[in-house]
Amino acid sequence: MMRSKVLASVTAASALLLLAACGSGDAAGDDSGVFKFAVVTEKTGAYADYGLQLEAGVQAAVKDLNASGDYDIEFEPVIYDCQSDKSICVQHAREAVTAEGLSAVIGPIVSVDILPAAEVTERAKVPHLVMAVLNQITDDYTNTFRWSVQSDRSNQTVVDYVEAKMKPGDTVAIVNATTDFGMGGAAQQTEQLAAIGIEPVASIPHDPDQADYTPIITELKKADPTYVLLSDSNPADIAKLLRQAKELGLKSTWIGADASGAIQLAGDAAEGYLTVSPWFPGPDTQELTDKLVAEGIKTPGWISAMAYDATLGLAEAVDSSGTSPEEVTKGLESLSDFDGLARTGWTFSADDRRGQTTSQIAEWTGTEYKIVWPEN
Amino acid sequence: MSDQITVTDDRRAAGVGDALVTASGGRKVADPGGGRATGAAALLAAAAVAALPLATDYSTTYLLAYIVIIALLGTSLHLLMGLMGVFSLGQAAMFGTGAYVAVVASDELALDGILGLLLVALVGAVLGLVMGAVTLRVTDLYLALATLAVGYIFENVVRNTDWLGGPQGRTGFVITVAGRSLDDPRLLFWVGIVALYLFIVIIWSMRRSKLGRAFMATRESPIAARSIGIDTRRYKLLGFALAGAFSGIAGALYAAWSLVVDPSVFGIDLTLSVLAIAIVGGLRSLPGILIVGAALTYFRNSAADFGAADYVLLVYGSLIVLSLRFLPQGLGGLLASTVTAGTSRMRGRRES
Amino acid sequence: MAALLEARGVTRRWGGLVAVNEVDLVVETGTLHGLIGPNGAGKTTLVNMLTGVDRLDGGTVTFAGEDVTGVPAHRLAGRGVARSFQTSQLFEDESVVDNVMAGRHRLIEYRFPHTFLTTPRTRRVEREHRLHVIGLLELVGLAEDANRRVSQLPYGRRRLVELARAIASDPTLLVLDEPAAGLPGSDVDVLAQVLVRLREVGFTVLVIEHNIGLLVSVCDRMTVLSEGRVIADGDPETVRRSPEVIEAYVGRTPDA
Ligand SMILES: Nc1ncnc2c1ncn2[C@@H]1O[C@H](COP(=O)(O)OP(=O)(O)OP(=O)(O)O)[C@@H](O)[C@H]1O
Ligand SMILES: [Mg+2]
Repeated sequence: MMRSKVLASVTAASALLLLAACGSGDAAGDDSGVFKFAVVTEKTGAYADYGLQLEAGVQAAVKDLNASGDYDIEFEPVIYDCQSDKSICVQHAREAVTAEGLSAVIGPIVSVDILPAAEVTERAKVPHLVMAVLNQITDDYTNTFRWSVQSDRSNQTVVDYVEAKMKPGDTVAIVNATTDFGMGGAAQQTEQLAAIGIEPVASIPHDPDQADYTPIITELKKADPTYVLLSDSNPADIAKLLRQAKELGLKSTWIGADASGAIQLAGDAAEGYLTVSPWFPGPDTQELTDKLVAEGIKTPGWISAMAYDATLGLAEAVDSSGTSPEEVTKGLESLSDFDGLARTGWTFSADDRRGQTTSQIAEWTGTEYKIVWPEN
Repeated sequence: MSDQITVTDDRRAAGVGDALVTASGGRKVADPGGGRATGAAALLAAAAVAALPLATDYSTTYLLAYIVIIALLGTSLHLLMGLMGVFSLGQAAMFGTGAYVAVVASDELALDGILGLLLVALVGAVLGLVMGAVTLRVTDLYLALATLAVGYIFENVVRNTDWLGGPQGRTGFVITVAGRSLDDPRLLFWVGIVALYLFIVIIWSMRRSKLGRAFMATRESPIAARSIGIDTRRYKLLGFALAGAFSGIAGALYAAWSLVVDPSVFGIDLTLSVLAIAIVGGLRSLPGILIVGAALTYFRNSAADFGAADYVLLVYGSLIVLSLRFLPQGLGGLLASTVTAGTSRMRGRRES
Repeated sequence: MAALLEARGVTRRWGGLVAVNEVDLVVETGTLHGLIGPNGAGKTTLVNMLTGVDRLDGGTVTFAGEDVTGVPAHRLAGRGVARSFQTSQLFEDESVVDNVMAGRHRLIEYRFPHTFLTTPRTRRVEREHRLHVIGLLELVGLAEDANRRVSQLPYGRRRLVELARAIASDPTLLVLDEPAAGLPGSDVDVLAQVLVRLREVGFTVLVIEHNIGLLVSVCDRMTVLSEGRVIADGDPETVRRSPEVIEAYVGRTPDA
């Protein structure tokens, strides 16, 4: 009996050896004239919807870049699927910057996956382009570049809009999910409103994934605010809130974050809903929308648009400064008022890695987004 | 065959029973230690595995380190579920605690990993003792749920504790061993393999000693175990403490590996994937668990290369169902019966 | 002769039923003591209390001169009380040798770190005990089955494993709960020989049996229990002839 166990463990050891042999794949070739960069993203798993958008944005940009003839170098993304698992995100970030020696990393998309990946890239001193909204990322990692609008700036954009639109007698209420995103957003908005002398007439937290939100709507009806500022990132919950608000005849205007699918789920009830987002698909942005659709994304969102701009910016940095990690970093840090296709005025420096400082607000008309802020 | 050794020595444990069992001399005793040749082969294989990082590239070495971490967890599950028959789902609590203790030890206490890992092992052992003590009176499903609950409680506490980093967790720590950073994947792997080998040697040794029989007796029949003088509670606590110490070390190494600790280290996902490994590998079979642990972890991390990333859970689930249906003893059971069949065939040939 | 085990006024209730009622029992050192009684008489319940498996509702138990009332089973076992069970309590998935080796638990001592690391010392100690166990298996006729898994053995063999495991701990007092139940004739003979042998070498044994014939032939002393009370106590022949015993067994053909 014992003997067989010893033998079996010898087999185990050999299996390990074999696996390792398979694992040590050949490193990527180093042909000059091609700039390879890593895209570590959640192509599968819980965050696949977002991760695939990121990949599509990069692919669309790379096609345009290589077709433009403006660069003497060819761009080639090396795509890693980190399966919405942060261990695998770390694994692939390491593979990219150590085994493959790539000079820049884009992605992943959700914060819990970015943080460990950023630990890897920071230690390797490789520039890291992210689309996340969490402030902490660009605050803590000096090698990151944010190609989107961080959450406190989005919340400020909402408060700016409310301040500009408020008429005497108008009131504001805050509704938030009791998630990290929801509670953080509500806290910021409360503070930002206080700075302009507005105190919400109601502030109502709710647990995620509830079936029935009528108690919240009833409470809102009592307070009867002109604007409801919503901090919730769960599309189904947003849709339920909007539907039940419509059923119960709440008149308030809702302003909330861009959670993909919320509008579709809410149907009619989403009409008049104001979304804050760095970018909106639609007639105003037809060119980019079409490019992204061509990459297989049915309804492109801000993630794919931001990834598109990030890739353009990366190319610009490489073109201006060179292909080593230090050179790419320098190139990105010297981007100033750089115009992408999604947004204009991208600006980075060694001290400010936020890229954009304001967001946009659009109204859902029932068929398309109409941008209402900033006003041209 | 060398596993049948002949004992002519007349010295024996003294007792009333000696008068009963008269010395007949030259009696054959099966030596559970196994032959010298297989021992040497095991040593050789162990050395070969330990030398792997010399042949692999940087990121593959990281993958190997991760496999070792999973193997440590699998081995502690083997101890708890396979040897002791305790259906514990508390691995995540021990693992997560180890991760946080390691980070605090290096960040706040500036301890080197040699002391830090000892501290982790100690805290893990104490946690194991507490979990064992709390669940002394319950078994099976209740024990599983109670131990699972510990993980949930810890996750919640950590999420709401600001100096542990709250929901975002902690980053930017550097865990060192003997002054060298565990950022070096080889060092990480070797520290892990030392812990794993120590654990395996302890478990194999236990299995051949009164300790292993005490675990076995407690698992098979607690009443009978007590009536032959085995303090079943003490052994349960001992097993939990050992599992806690080594799961804690796995957590500490995971912190060094993933560069981030956040409340998700207490999550159920990890427990379930290690449970899957243990079931497919065979709860009672350490080699089975080690092989399946290495294979599934490799598969999980490279699933995208096989174009199977969308089917990881499906594969895990199917493997569990298939092994429960066709291989209730897991891969380990299959290995053991093949090897036994093989050796008896060899014996048969020699005798004829 | 000195009393090894002395129970005074031992009582156990199950709800309204008094399963064991103020029982006195004295087992003297070096004797083979039989405990008989009809089904449901309370024999197992009594023995469970004496071996620390079950708690007492009243009375005291003295073992080797010390009060052991309420001492848990594993402590009593540590002091040398071993027992077998009426309903099988074997380690099913393990070999016969390992089952019986487990019985030697209290006698094996190799101390830290030898418990956690297989050292030459661990091996030597293990080998000595294993040798003893093999000898014991020969004695009870299980030598051929030594390496078989218990769950693969026929019923009678399994009972013998249980017996061997209890003997393996070199107990000062050996308690056997119906060791012959369900045993085929050939194995009953083995059992009788083992009992005789145990007495020869000076074991103290308390054995529960329905098989009066078997008991009378080997016992030094017998106690009869009926409906929770002792109805007879003394040397086997006298007990067998006592009217209370005959009455208690009326309508029942002695198994012998
Ligand atoms: N756990 C229990 N709960 C309730 N009643 C019990 C319990 N154990 C035993 N009894 C009852 O106590 C009485 C004595 O049972 P016990 O098993 O001691 O008898 P016994 O003399 O060993 O009988 P047998 O010869 O059938 O083994 C019986 O009436 C039995 O039903
Ligand atoms: Mg009975």
